[in-house]
Amino acid sequence: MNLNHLKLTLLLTIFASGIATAQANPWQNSYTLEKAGQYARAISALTPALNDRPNQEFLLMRRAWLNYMEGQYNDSLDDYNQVLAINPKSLEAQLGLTLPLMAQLRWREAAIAARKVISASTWDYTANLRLMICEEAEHKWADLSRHASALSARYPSDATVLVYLARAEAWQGKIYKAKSAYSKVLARTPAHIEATAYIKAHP
Amino acid sequence: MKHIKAMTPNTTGHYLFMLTATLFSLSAYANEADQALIPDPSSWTATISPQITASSFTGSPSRDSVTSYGLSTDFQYLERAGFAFSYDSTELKLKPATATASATTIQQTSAYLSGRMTFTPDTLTGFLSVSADVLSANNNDSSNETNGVVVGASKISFLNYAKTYYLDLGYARSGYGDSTIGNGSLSVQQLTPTLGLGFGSNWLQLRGYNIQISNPARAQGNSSTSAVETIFTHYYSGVGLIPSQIRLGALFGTRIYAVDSSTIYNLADVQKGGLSLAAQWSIGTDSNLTLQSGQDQYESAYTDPTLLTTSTINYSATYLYLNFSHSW
Repeated sequence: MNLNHLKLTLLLTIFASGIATAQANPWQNSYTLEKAGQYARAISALTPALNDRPNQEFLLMRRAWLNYMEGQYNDSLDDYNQVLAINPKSLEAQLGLTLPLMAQLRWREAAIAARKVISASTWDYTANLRLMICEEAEHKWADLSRHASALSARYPSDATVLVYLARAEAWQGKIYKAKSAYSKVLARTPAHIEATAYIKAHP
Repeated sequence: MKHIKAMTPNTTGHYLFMLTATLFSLSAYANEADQALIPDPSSWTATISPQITASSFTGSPSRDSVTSYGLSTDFQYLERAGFAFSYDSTELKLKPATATASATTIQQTSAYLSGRMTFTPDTLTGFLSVSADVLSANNNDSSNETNGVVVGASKISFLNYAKTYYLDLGYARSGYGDSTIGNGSLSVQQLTPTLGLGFGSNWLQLRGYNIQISNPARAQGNSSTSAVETIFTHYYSGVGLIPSQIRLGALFGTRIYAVDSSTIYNLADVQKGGLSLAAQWSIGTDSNLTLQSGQDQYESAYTDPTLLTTSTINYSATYLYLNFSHSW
């Protein structure tokens, strides 16, 4: 009986301390607030921890993301750059830079950031995709065509890369090649609106 | 036995080392070849644009034609800053003052230097830009009234990220050479508020010109002029022979001694409207060809050299402008 009582007390203590930890845990609070779309409060929840450890890489990465979600793009860039100052090898931070830069339509800067990731990891899907977004925004159709074609060879079942290839060909007036790429898109995503519309408009 | 003896541990290690080194170098070569497949954007974009303008005057008793050659260069660093420089050489052919006189020409050179910076403050959700320009024009005008022109101009502009509207406010101050025919000095101040609106594949720009003139005696009696310039642009796919954009421009109101971007309108006559049509073609992904034609209306006081009577005359200038630009 005494043993059972002891076990129960122990379990309750562990449970109670678990709740207390969850309530006081800045990470938990931050994630809960982010899920609720309250990004500014999610950032505030991290502030005490950041005050204690201002150069903690993961905390800065987390705040960079939340600043990006909050629309504080310059603060987000500052955070990602601070991470890169601490850890120049961080591909995550380099890739992170592309998000606020693209949100500010700073396509060339975003492209350079994505390209740095690619220099370290040639066929990184996300970095290549973001570089292609920049190429499209800057109307660099020949570059986009070449790039999308090379990436599609590495990710042959991916429809998104083929859409970029098709757009690049279409903008260059290469209807046959655009149709070919859009047909491949439809084989992978049969209800793709853009591909369907293009093929219908170019019988 | 002899063969086994040859394969000593050291020799095997050597072969393994050679194999590893070969595989490593092949791998490096493959990575290099892969990297070459992916575009490598640069921080700078340079654009060079040679241009030519030919213009002829109708109804002017003194002016015959204008030919201008120019070269513009522009350097853009990321989306942050840029500078531009242009140089133009212009020849204005004048009609002979009398039947026995010979035709004369005015030779002019003009230069333009501009610097700009762009900011992206989160509070404005768009591009905030500031620019500062210096322009100059020098010619052999015997009256010196259109010569020795130096302009300082600045502009603050805003373009929202969605590119649905644009605002700018420009200010320019022009100083002209002192008259050698007794008309005194001249300085001109210009304020140009601008509104741009984007909708669908179209862009509409309205720019107001408010020009204050220090010496009306050198501005056809005007101490100020006001005008609105409208430019409507429609964007096309630009595939093949289809232009990438068509621009229709019109000027309403009056203006004199205006400064428009890199151009000084140092003609001492009052512009009373104008109409233009331009088309731009994309050549490849890095070149553009622009062809523009238009007609401007002018008003000027004219003193007949024979009768010595002064009257107001209206005349027009019809022009053709060709520009080719290439970026790296």
